[in-house]
Amino acid sequence: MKDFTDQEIILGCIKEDSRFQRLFFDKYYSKMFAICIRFAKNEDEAKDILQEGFIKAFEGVKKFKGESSLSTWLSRIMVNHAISYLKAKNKNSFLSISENEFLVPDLPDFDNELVKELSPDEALSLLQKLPDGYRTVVNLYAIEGLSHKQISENLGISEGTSKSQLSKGRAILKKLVNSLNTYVL
Amino acid sequence: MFYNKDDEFFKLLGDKISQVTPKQPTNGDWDSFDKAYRAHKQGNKKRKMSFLIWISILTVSLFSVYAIYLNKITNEQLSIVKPKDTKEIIKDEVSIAPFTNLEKPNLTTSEIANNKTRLLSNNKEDGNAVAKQIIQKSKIENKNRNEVNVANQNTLIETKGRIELIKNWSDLILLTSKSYLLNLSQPQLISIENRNALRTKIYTIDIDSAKNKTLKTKGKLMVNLAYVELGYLLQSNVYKQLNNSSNQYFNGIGVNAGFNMSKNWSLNFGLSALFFNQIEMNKRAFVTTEKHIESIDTTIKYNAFYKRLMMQIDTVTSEKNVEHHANNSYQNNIAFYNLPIQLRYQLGNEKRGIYGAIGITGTVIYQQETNVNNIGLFNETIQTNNNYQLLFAPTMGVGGYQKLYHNWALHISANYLKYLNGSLHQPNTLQIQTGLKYNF
Repeated sequence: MKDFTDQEIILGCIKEDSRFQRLFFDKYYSKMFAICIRFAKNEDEAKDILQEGFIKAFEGVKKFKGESSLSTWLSRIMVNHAISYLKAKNKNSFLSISENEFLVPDLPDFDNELVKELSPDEALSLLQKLPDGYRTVVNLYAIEGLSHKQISENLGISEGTSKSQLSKGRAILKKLVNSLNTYVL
Repeated sequence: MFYNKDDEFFKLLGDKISQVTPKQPTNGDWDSFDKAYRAHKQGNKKRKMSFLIWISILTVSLFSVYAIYLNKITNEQLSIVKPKDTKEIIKDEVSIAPFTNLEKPNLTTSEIANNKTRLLSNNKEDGNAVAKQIIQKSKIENKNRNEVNVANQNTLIETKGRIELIKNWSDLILLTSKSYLLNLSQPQLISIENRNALRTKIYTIDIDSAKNKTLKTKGKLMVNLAYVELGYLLQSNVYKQLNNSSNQYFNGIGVNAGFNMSKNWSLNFGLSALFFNQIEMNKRAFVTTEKHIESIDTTIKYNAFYKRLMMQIDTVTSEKNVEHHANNSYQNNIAFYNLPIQLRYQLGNEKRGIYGAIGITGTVIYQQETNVNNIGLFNETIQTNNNYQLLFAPTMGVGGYQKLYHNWALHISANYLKYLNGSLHQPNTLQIQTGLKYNF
């Protein structure tokens, strides 16, 4: 099959041509799934987020002005939708865990080398074990590279809460890494 | 992928996660997505339809609630503003207090003007200083008011609008109407009608809404949204066609409703019925001779509406006769039921004059019920004929009322009537009306 440029694919999607929609879907599926799986608790949830994210993308493709690459634009849609999805899923409890809950002290003597010993799937699995709120903040801060200010704006929380969530998320992850290595050993 | 460089732990973890083998899409993934996408689009259409339906329902509900709310406010205001006895108003206002803030917004322009006149006359007689003060206040209040009702901004009760019941408002119309058969080469005069009508609107319900005026003028402007009126009509027609003439007396009753869609456009519709009844009784006596037959006809006519009994005796001589004696009674009931839908564009105002254009879907149900009772020497026959006709005569016209002295107004209009059916009328008629109207 002929290789179409992003521009041609977009034009086809604007015309709601299902062949181009399929091309668009296939081309960005893997990359977008990688984003969704980090935010999701499991693969099924990731697929839900991905599916709804693509629907949003197809509906909003007319608004794509080419100011960024198609991949960046689509990633932003996926991340935003993942946040909305998790917020809607948790409703009142999203990022409103009481201070004492999941109170895990940070491990100052944690050895980062233990992370290197993890397989990629194990690393993902550990991230998915975090509660939705922590996982979202960790994703946005540590992987998407957002500042606490940006996170607070995105999630509608204070910067302090963002820092606190990240700190707790990190502590839980370190503990999980430790326990995993202990178990392995 | 971005990393927070300050946090080695997250950097390492992020690196590991990014190495997860990317999942490739399968046909099943696409099919599942495609199905969901189509369902979503279908749902969107349904949602849009549902949204429109709900908006419609909401609009109707809000309108109803608003109308009820207006009614409530109006009742409150009316109880304050509109005492039954106008003499009491003068007495109270002059001797006790000027207008209060509560009273101001509910006075219509004409009421304020009337009050002012009364107060002026009282002031002359009594030399009451309070009255002067009131007049001065009224002047200031009236400065920015036009002929429509204006509610004052400085009011304790915020005026949203009102529903007003107006009783017994009448006008007299004296019209001369000339109808021409529209012929492309030469218009031909086919009838002249002099119509005198006294219209009494028994009840008129006005639904007004208060709208904010501009910042410059402040205050609130009362805008008439809709009205419903119940009226009674007395009408006498002197109708002259080319070959005959007739006097007709009608009485009628009607309900009319209208919506003012904008400042200039309005839509009216209604139902009115005009009734015309006449009873005739004829007595015929025959005198038979060999060569000729003489008969004496006695006719008694009773017009039920006009309540007038007429007697007429004719002597007829003829060569042949088929009956010796006969009594004949004749009753004719005619009713016109009008169901017009009227779209009107009008300019001007009631103070100076109204001009405009009008389009009417003229739908008339014409009903004629005739009862004939013949009593002869050997037989009696009773005939009842019912004749119904549904006439369609769409009308377009231009015209207007120019305000004259006092309550008189000059009426001029030109209407084009297109009779789509019915043999009683010419198919294309131009009707030019001139006349006078007096508002009581």
